[in-house]
This record gives sequence, structure tokens and C-alpha cells, in this order.
Amino acid sequence: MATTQTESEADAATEVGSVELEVFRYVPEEDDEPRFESYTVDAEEGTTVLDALIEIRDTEDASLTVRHSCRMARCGSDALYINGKQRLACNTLVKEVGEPVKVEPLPRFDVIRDLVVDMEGFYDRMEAVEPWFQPSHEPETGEEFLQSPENRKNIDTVLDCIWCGACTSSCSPAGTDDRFKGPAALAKAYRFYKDEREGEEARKNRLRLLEDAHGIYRCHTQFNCTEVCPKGISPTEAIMEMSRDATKQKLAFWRR
Amino acid sequence: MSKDTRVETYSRGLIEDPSRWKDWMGGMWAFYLHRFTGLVLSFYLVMHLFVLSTGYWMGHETYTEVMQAIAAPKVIHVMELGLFAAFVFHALNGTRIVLFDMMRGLEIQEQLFYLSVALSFAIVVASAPFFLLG
Amino acid sequence: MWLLQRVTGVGLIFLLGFHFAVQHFIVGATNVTAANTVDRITYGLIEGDHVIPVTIDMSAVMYQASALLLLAFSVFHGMYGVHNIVVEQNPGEKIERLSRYFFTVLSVVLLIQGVLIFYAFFAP
Ligand code: FES
Repeated sequence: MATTQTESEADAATEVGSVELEVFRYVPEEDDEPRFESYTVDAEEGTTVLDALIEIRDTEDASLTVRHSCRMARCGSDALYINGKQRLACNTLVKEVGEPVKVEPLPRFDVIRDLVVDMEGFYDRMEAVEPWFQPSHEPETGEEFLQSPENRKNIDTVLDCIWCGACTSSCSPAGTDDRFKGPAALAKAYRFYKDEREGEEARKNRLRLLEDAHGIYRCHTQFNCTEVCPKGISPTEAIMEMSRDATKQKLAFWRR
Repeated sequence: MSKDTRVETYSRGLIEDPSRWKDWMGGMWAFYLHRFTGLVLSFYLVMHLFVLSTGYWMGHETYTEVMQAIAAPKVIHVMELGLFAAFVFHALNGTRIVLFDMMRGLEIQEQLFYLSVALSFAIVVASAPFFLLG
Repeated sequence: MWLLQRVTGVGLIFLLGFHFAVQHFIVGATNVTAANTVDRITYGLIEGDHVIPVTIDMSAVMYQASALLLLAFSVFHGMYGVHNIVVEQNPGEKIERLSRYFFTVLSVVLLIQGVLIFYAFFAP
């Protein structure tokens, strides 16, 4: 997925000619129903889908609304459904997806306007797994909670999450079941679950938090989240590990 | 999902899954096939026990008659082969899922799905004569 | 529950596989009669008039156990599976509870029915 910066910069000067984009439009004041609008823009080797959208907004139709910020796959504002897959528009080259480039807002999210979706519910889900560090005791003055490099290795990938919502948008249980936290939140839970500085108690609590009928067991290993994650995280793997551990924990309880 | 109450939003509802089947990736196909075959098998289980219970309620002769009558038409044999196919796929894909639960094969999930499809196909073709000729 | 679903699932691969093998490969669906069902359930899988000749005798107890286990496993796995599909639609507490009752009752009915069928063909 990750197109290396140098590569695209070196080719940046080469024209690939005009590219056709089909963009999902919905302006609540004007449209009753969403519609698709076609635009044609000039693209170069290194033109990203986000570049093309900005180009449209600047030169063709100033009413087109798209959320973006960093343009370098760091902020997670511009996850969109591009040619059949959730991707970051700024991390997707126009030439790599083929023509016409069909751009839609994230599926399973409610649309506010054009390509902008309501992320509120997504953030609620993220918050539900208590994504903050819960040490076993208050730190004494000058005390630091140090994590061993080995322990840190476990969470290297899940830490890369930029909260773009691509995975949660791709997951059908997360779509039908609002109480299921979805891949992003569960990967976030995993990040803390794996952090040994929190101690045994907190670990068990974190699992308990995820264990009800709408919890981790709703994962059906569709692997969509893993496929679409722009950061190469595998939420599926995290969920599988936690559900395995939760089951083990229960069995150990029976034995006693 | 809670909504941002400051703005009006447009819900695109459940158009997402079925209408996008062309975009599905391996794991998604596996999920829906597993679900579909599961439903078929469950439904069959209920009907099956219902039909077999003639043996208890109506005696052995009726049972034999009913079983012979059901097994007579050729269509039934094809349907039984379909049921067998559903079972084989559900079993193989189920094995795939159990593997994931044990944290195995997560990287090759898509290949494993194609493998389970290919294997089911092979098994069904190989056992088709028993159903269709027998 | 989740674990049980997996355990019964793996069990069913063998039990249902065996069931299919007996009914369709060894006996043949067209040859099912009350008489040979009684034979199988009472005496186990023994040599007889089969499509594929059986070379190894299976004891009656083993065959009966496989039949009853198959009943229990398949009813649980099937009904719990469908109930899970309902739960996953997040229909709300009330319907979830209703669904749990419904599938529990249905399971019990199916189990009773299954045992009755077994009993009907059990004639030592
Ligand atoms: S604009 Fe920041 S991730 Fe794409």
C-alpha cells in the first residue's frame, strides 16, 4: 500500500493525462437523495485521489466538501470508499485504482454532506474501551512507568492507528450491531490489554469489558478491517488473541 | 451509533453489504457463505427431525413409505447433494475459523478460504455419484 | 457458549460426516426402510445389504452414542448459531430475550423429538 515518497516524487513530473472521477454528492439543503457527479481533472504520476478532489473543489465546483488535513496519511481525516475499498484518499494514487475513480463517503456511516461522514458514533465506540492508561497505583513524585522494549514490541503495529474509521466502515457486524465496538476500538483495547505496566487486575478488567454478547465474539473473521487498514494493522489478529485469552481465563476459573 | 445532533445526517441504511458484493474480498465471501450454509443446515435439521418423527408417531410402515417416497424423485437427489455441499463447505470453513481462534493461519486467510472452496468442490464432485446414482 | 459452539462444531465435522457416509454412501438414501433403521440402531453398523460393503463391524453402543451425540451437537450448534444471527442485528434487549427463549424451547422440542425417533427404532 505505502507508496514511497521518493518514488512518487521522482515521477511527479510525468503527465498521465486527464482522469475521470465519479464523486458522491449530497448537499442536505439541495438534494433529497445522494447523486453521483462526474468530473475530469488533469493528473500526473504522483497525483493522489485527495489531490484530484482538491483540484475539483478549487477549479470546478467549490461546493464539494471533503475532510482532510495532513495529506500524508497521518491524521486520518480522509478515509473514503474509493473503487470498492476503504482507503485514505491522500495515500491512494489516482493511477493505482484505475478509471473512473469512484469516490464515496465511508459506508455504514451517516453522511453529513458530500464525502463528510458523522464520526461521533465511531468516537463513542473508541471511548467505550477506555483507551487511557490505567496504572495500578498513583505515581509517586518523580516516578515513571517504564515499559520494557520487549513489551513495547507487541503493540508496535496497533499503536499506528490514526482513527480514520476505515476498518470499522468495512466490518459488517459493526454495521448491523451498534453495541459491537468494531475493529478500531478493539485494536485500541488490545494496545492497552498488552501493556504489562497496567498489571494483572487491569488486564482482566479490560477483557471483561469486551466479553458480553456484543463484544469480541461478534467478530466473524471477515478480515475486511485487516485488508483495508492504511497502516497495515491487523485488528482481526488482536481480536482473536483477546478472545482466546478470555476463553482461557474462563476455563481456568472453572477448574478452581 | 450516537449521532452528532448539531447537524442533520443522511443514513444510507443497509445498502452497504449486498449491493456491494462485487467489492467483497475473500474473507467476506467466506463469512456470507458460512452464514448461508449454516442457515440452510439449521433449517434442514428442523425439517429432518420433523419428517423422521413419523417413525414414532405413525409407525414403521408409514415411515418406510414416507422415506421411499421422498427419496424417489431425482430432484431430491440433487438437493441432497446440495445439502452435502453445504455441510462440506461449512465444515471446512469452520475448521478455518477454529484455526484463527488458535491464532494460526491469520496471514494466509484468503488462501485458506480458496482452499476450503476448492476442497469442498473436489469432495462434492467425487461423491456426486453416490447421491445421483444411488 | 462461544467455546461450546466451536467444540460442537468440530465434533459435528466427524459426526455429521459419519452420518452422511452411512446414509448416502453405505446404505443409500433410496434404501432407507424402518427395518434397516431398526437394525442399525439396535445392532450397530454390521455387514449386510449395503451399497458399499462394511468390513469393520461397529458396535451397537458406539453407533447409538454417535446418533445421540449428533442429535445434541447439531441441535445446539444450529439453534445457537441462528440465535447469534438475531443478536447480531442488535434488535434490542426485548427481542434478544425472546429469541433466546424461542430457540431454547425449539431446541428442547427438537431434542425430545429426536429422542422419540431414536426410541421408536430401538428394539432390542
Ligand atoms: S489527509 Fe491526513 S490522513 Fe489523509
